[in-house]
Amino acid sequence: MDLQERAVRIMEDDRRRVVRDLQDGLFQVLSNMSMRLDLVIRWMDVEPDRVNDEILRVYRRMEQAILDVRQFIDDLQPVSVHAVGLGPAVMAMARRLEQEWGVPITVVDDTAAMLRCSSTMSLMLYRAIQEAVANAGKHARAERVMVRLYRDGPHLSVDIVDDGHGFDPQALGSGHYGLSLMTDRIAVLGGTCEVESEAGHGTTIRFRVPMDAPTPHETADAVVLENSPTPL
Amino acid sequence: MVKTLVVDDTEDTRMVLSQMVEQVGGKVVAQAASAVEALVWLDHHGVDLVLTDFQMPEMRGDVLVSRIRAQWPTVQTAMISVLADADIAARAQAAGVHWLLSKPVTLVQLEQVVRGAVSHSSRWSGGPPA
Repeated sequence: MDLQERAVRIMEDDRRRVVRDLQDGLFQVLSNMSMRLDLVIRWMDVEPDRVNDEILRVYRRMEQAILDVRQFIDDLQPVSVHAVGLGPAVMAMARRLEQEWGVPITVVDDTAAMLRCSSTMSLMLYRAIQEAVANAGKHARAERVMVRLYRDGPHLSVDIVDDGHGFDPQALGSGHYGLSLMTDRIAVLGGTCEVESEAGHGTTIRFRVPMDAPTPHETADAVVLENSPTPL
Repeated sequence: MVKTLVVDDTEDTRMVLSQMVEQVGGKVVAQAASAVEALVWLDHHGVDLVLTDFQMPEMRGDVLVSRIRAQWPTVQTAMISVLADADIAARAQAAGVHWLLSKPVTLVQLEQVVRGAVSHSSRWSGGPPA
């Protein structure tokens, strides 16, 4: 598959992911609110106590819907990854998702100041990491997630490790847009995406992308960007 | 009363659908969080109507309905989908779904389904034809 084909596929898979997120999230919440209000209208004159309970439920669901929309906007928001650097951008994403999901996300940036990624490379990597972390937190129901960025010879590698319910990578059909999106994004950069997972034993996703060699002064100690100390 | 099994992978949706079915005169005898769970339950219990979501992990609603139609042909089935477009309608028809509903479901729609299931179960009360 050439780059143009991959770019088109990325766009299409991205649209499918947005549709899926809307269907599973906001649409579901709004539908249920509508159905509850249908009941409220029916009960209004005859069962006022049940009406009160249902209105309270609808109110809570509406609050949830507002949170969902906020998260959706955050996910789609353009990110100035190149300006702040890949590591800090991933850290900011992790902090936001930690608050939303209540799942500790540790980010370890062993590349520190060494990275000289192009803006395209930074953004592609950021979106691929975002997809992998979202899969861990939203779909795999992980209790902990770790993201590690490190230099691996002439490559930049990123490991995303979670302790979620895992899956059989061989059993995934072509409809698994998240995985396909990640693979395509990394392939556009000339890199590889490896997935190790087993049902009940978590998932490790590794991106490996070629990059320019570091200049001599570009050495730095590992920087832990989040204070969750327990390794997975 | 139409004995109904509600199948949906979202708890909140199962709850509200069950309330609606009861409101229009049905009797929700069980809820299942997946198609597999529904099939296991049906192995041991009788029911007049299965109200199922279309999009569910592991097994979609139309596949569940196909299995139900093959094993329990007298059971009536209603499938709910985000979209009720031509593709979903074709899948529903191929599976043998009796009623296809799009979300959000209304009480008026469910009244029709439950009423239809009542007349069906009264037609079949003498046992299924050979």
